[in-house]
Order: sequence, then structure tokens, then C-alpha cells
Amino acid sequence: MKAPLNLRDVSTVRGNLADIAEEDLIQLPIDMENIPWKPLGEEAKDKYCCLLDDMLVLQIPRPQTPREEEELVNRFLEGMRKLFTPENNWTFLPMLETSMNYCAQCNSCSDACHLFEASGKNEMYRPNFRSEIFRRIYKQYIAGEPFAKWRYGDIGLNWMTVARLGELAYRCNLCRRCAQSCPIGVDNGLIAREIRKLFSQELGINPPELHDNGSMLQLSTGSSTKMNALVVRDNVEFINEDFSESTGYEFTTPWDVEGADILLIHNAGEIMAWPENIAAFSIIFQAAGLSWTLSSDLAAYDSINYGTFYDDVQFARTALLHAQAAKKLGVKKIVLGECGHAHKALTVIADRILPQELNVPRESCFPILRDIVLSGKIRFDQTRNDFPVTLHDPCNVVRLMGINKPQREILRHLCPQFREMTPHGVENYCCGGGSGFAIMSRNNIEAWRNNISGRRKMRQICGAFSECLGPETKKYVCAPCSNCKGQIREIIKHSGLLEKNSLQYGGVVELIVNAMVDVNPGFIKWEEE
Amino acid sequence: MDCTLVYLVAYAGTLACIGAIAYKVRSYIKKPVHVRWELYPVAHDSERAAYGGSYLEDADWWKNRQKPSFIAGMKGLLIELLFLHLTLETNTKLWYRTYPFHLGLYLLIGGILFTCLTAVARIMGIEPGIVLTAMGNIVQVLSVLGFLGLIAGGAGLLHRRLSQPDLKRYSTREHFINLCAFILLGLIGLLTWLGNPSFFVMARDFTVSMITFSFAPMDSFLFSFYITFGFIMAAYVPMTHMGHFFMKYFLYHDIRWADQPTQDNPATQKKIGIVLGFPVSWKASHIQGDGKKTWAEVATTNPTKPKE
Repeated sequence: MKAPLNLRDVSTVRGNLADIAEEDLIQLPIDMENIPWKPLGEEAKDKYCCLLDDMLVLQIPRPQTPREEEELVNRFLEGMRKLFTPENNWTFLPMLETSMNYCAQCNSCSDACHLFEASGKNEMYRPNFRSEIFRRIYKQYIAGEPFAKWRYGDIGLNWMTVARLGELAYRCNLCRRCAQSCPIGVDNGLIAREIRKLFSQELGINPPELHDNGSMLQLSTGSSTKMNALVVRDNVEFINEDFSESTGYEFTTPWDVEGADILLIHNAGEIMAWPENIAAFSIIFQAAGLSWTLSSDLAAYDSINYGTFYDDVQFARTALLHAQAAKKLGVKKIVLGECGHAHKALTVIADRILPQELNVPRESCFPILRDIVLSGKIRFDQTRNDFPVTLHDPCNVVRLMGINKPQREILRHLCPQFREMTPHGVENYCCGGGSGFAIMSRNNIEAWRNNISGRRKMRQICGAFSECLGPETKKYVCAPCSNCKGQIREIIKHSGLLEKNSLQYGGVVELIVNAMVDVNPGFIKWEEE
Repeated sequence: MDCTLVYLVAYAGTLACIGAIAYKVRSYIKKPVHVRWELYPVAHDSERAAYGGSYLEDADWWKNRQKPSFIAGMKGLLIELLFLHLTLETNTKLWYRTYPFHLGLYLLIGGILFTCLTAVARIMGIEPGIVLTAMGNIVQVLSVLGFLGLIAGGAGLLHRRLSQPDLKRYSTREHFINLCAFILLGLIGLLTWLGNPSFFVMARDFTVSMITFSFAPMDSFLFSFYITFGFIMAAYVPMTHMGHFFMKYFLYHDIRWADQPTQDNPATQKKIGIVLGFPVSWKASHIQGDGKKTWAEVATTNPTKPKE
């Protein structure tokens, strides 16, 4: 391992700041294949600031002249000043300012971070590394603290510092496990998000997957999947027909029903990637006799809100569209499908963004599913789920919302071989795809997710199935979040873990329908289709 | 010896300490409403805090939400403050050093409170009985334990910051100066305690004199030095990151545990109305804030649709 980084290196080192050697990564008890890390091409290096680790999320245009270098620094500082004004950042100012002012530099947060641990404690992934760089710039240039340079040290602010800080903000899954471990309440995850926000809201620099092909696409066509209302309704109709036939359970999915009790909002990615999840919700809700509907209004059939990860304005725009659709239909409440960040975004963060007239009650799908399962309205045959099942806790749902028990009560009722991961609940580890990474695969991001960010979670999964890791036992990782499923799917697929270890993944609703007596056996498939 | 300067420093230190705390608290509570950003477990949910649950675990949670328990919230904060519970869990090696340090400070603060009580009793002419004598003895014990905690804990922290490469890289001059200052304060206090018949009597007489503005002379140079240095530290600490000792209340209650839904809270609803009228000046093309457009206007503008 190379000598660990010093904070000042961020402004002085030429070329890449860090690299992760394969031998430094934590070991796993299964045959997981690393994806080779490919050096970025010369074209990318000429065009963008490639100064960190041969991974390129943000694509900051590389300054070509000293004047452009200075301009990048000045624009960054201008944005940073705005972050500390109540007018521009009323949303997060108190959290950001206290995280700047009261950190004791005890580094208690380090061991809480799955990236720091999985990378073999690489300094770049220490949660406080980027935070302390940002903090020192703040104290010296924004807060203007007396003798700041002498008291805290000068990290050197130049275009390389700025470019690296922007990219470093995308070496974090925003899972906030570090914040949970902080005795003072400092939030390094928030600092990473605020840096992302500065780049997006002031410099207009953001990952295309989250912005151009994410929130902007959602605002223009209605969904980041590019599905407009007509297409989405067609696709859901197809799902109804296809699964009615395969399950032997005739069901429909209602659209735009005025006055329904529930507006259900799915992550539209499920419709494309996991149609069984959409079908399962429709089957359960119909079997339980609920009054519910989907909405075909702009953005209202896709619960994603990528602004959660990088931009308050995009966040607010999307949340407003969701709430407006519910208001228009006159539903009693919005229920969010199995998408973690959508849960947190609309239920919690939007709570102080929506004007009161749009503050329609919003809740997670898990309590209502738990109530249905335990109510006796639906008959179940638990032997259909008699295989080892473990539960991944999506950070947004559990650590950040406290929804911990309902999904467990369902699994304990329906899955005889349910077992917990260690640790679990609010102390869970991120899947490795959090904060938008699960939808990114260019510029070594896929390798990063497979080799580093998803590694700690895979170790947990292996631990939960330690006595039955072999291919002879079918095992199910229940990951009730689209983003987490996307991440786990990629890891399973790349290393062939379905074939080698009989490791399958899916949500909660699939397990519910799989055990329903009124549905043909075999809803969960154990082979790749 | 004439100790006027010591008293002046003590008054200035007291005022600066109170002023700095008041300024920081005021500047925090004056900030506009922020979005919810809670992190579980939330201590004031007395039924579910043990496993990190929340009222969001119930369907139709808005119909029967249990009110937050003030006592459970304060209990959670006190456990954290008194025992540094999270540090013990997440950074045990550091806890062995930082806990004696913090405990030393708590004991000294406790000693100051008891000293103030006995000083007030003396000013009121109350004869020293069993209670006041016991309080004096308690101050003697609290003080010496406090000094030892500061010295041992401070030295332990200093050693750790110097010997652990990962901690050293993040330690600044200010960290070392602060720790050395606290160790020095503990050493002066300990020497004063050892070199005089009763630390408590000196502290009580000084407090009486301070309250009555009588500026009584002090016999011990070490004690006057301790007092001067102590009040300078009292003024300095709230201005630094060590202000976490009082800001922690807001970091926990207003951020980490702030799970109260807006629909229950007309005051928050009103505040949201205000912030949505704030002007935006973010420059990115999808926002185009000009310092005049409000948050409400920006949030209701769809940048992908032609302007009407």
C-alpha cells in the first residue's frame, strides 16, 4: 500500500491522487470476480478533470488556460458562499454550518464507512477526508476565521482542489452511517451532498445519469425511463396480461381513479427491469380489496426524485409534481412502492417543501403490506417460501426513516428460514449503489460498484448464508428498493452468483405473492430469464 | 496581593463566555426552517427508540401518532453527554482518553456550582452547618478528581493525536494548543489544591468577593493564576469547535431527532410559507436565479417546457 494521503495533496499532486490495489480490498468467502479498472482514455483526460482515481463521475471540463483555472476556483467560491446564505440554502444551512463548525476531528466516523473498510482503509474514502478539505476552505475563505491558515493549516485552494473535491463528493453513497456514528452530530454524508449541490446549482455540473437523463427527463417526459404516459400504461397493461396468465390470478391495475383511497407511486424502473414487482403490488392490493390507483400525470407514475442526491431545486420540482397529481385525483394518501430514496424524498424531505395545500399524507408501502399479510384477508402457504431468506435494509427506508419492523414482520410470517444480516436495521450497510450510482456504469463506475462499494454488503450477505453458500441451496436476498436491487443484480450477474451459489434477489412483494395460495406456485424464478 | 486584574479578567471571561454562547445559540435559532433530515434511532420515540423504529412504521401514521416524549429525549441526550455513549461504541480506544477528560470537566463544573451555592449562603449570612460543610468537602473531592481527569485525559488525547498517524493527519495546531491549555489548567489547579490548606475555601471566598464586587486580595499566587487562566479558557472555549458542548442540544433535537411532521405544526407551516418566498441566485442554467425569483417561482418552473 502506498503512503496515505495528506489533506494538502489535494492541491499539489499531479495526476491521479489515489489508486486502490486489489490486494487491499477486504476478502469475501465467495468467488466474486473483480472488474478490471481501465485507465481513462487520453480524450477524456484532455476534456475533463481526471485527477482522482481513473473514475469519472462528474465530468468537470478541464480548464485550458490559467484564466480558466482561476475562473473555476472563483465560481466554486461564489457557489460556496451561496451555500452559507439562508436565502439560497435555507433547506440545509443549519446542518451544514454545524457540520463545519463543531467537528472534533476524532475520526470516529471512519470505521462506520463501508467504502473506507472495503477499500482497505484507503485515505480517500475516509468520510472526513473530503469534509475536512471543504471545512478548511470554508474557514479560510468563507467564514474568514481569524488566523485560519495558521490554526488549521492551508490545504491550498486551486483548480485541482476544486475539481478533486467535486469528484470526491461522488465517492460516497450518502448512506449517512458515518453521521450516525458521530457523537457530536456532524454529518459527512450531508457535506458530500452539499458539494454535489454546489456543483449542480451554481456551476451546472452534474452526472448526466442524474440530471440530463434523470431529473430533466422526468420533468420533460414524466420518467427517467423515457416512458411517457401512453407507453407506461401500455407496459403496465402488458404486465397485467402476462402475469395474470402465468399466475392464474386475474388482476388489473387501475389508472387515474378519482377519489381512490391510495395513489401508489412505483419507481418506473421496476416496470422495465422487474415487472414482477409491479404485478405483485397489483395482485396484493386487489386481493386485499383496497381502493387504489396509479396516476398517468407528468412524473406521477415514477417515484424517483434524483434531486435527492444532488440538487434541491430539481428535488422540489419533482416532489411538487408528485403531490399535485395526488391532489388532482383527490386521493386520501400517497403510498410509495419499493424504492428507498423515493420514500425518504417524498415522505420526509418534501415535508418542509410542500405548501400546506399540497401536503397530502404520504406513507411507505411496508406498513400497509404488513397489515394485509397479518390481517388474514389473503391465504398463504409458507412452505412455498421455505428457503433461506435474508433482508437488506435500504438506508433511506431504515436508517433515515425508522421503518424497521413492518418488512421484518412480513418475512417472519411468510419465510420459515428468514435470518438477519449482521449488523442490520438502522446499523445496516449500504448496498453500494446508493445516491444514484446503481444507474451509472461508465468510466469505471461499474468496476467501483462491483469491487469496492458493494463489497461490504456482499460480505454481509455471505455471512447471513454462511452455512448454505453452495449451489445446492436456493437463497433469496430480499432488497426492497429499486436502487439496491439494481446494485445487487449487477454483482450477482457479473460473478455468476446465481449459478455458482444459487443466490437470487428481489423485493418483499414477490415473497408475499410467491406464498399466496390463490396464485400458481413459482412466482419467484430461480433461473435468469 | 492586589488582585484587581484577576477579578477584571474573571468578569470579562464570564461575560465573554455567556455572550459567545448566547450569540451562537441565537444565530442558530434565528435561521430559517430547514428540511427534515432525521437519523434513527430517535430517542424521544420512547416505544421504538430501542430498535430504531419510528411512527412511520404505522399505516395512516397521521391518525394516531404518539407524541414525542420529552423525558425520553432528554434521557437520550443525557446518556450521550454524561457517558459519551457513541464514542464508547464507535471509538473505544479514544473513549478511554476522552472520557476522563470530559468527566474532569464535568466534575469541575459541578464543583463550581457547589462553590457558588456555598458563596451565596455565606453572603446571606447562613451559618456553616452539616450541609454546607459537606458541600465544601464535595468541592474538594470534585476539584482534585477534575484536575486529575483533565491532566490524564488531556495527556492521553495529546499522545493519541501525536502517535496515531490517521489522527495526526487531521490534528491542527489548534487541537494541540487546546489540549495543552487544558492540561496546564489541570496542573495549575492540582498544584494549587496540593499547596494550600483548602482549595474550596479559596474558591468560595473568591466567588463571594466576585459576587459582592469586594475585590478581596488573594494569598495564593497559584490560585490567582488558576482563576485568571480558567476564565480566559471559559471565554475561549465557546468560540471554538468545543462549543459542541452546548450546540449538541440543537444538533440532536433540531436535526438528528427532528421528526415532527409539518401537518401537526402550524408554526412550521407558516415558516415554510416564508422560506418559499426567499430569492434565489443560483446561476446554473436549469435554475437561472437572478436574486429576484423566489423559491416558489423556481420550484414551479419546469425548465424543460417552453415559457408560457
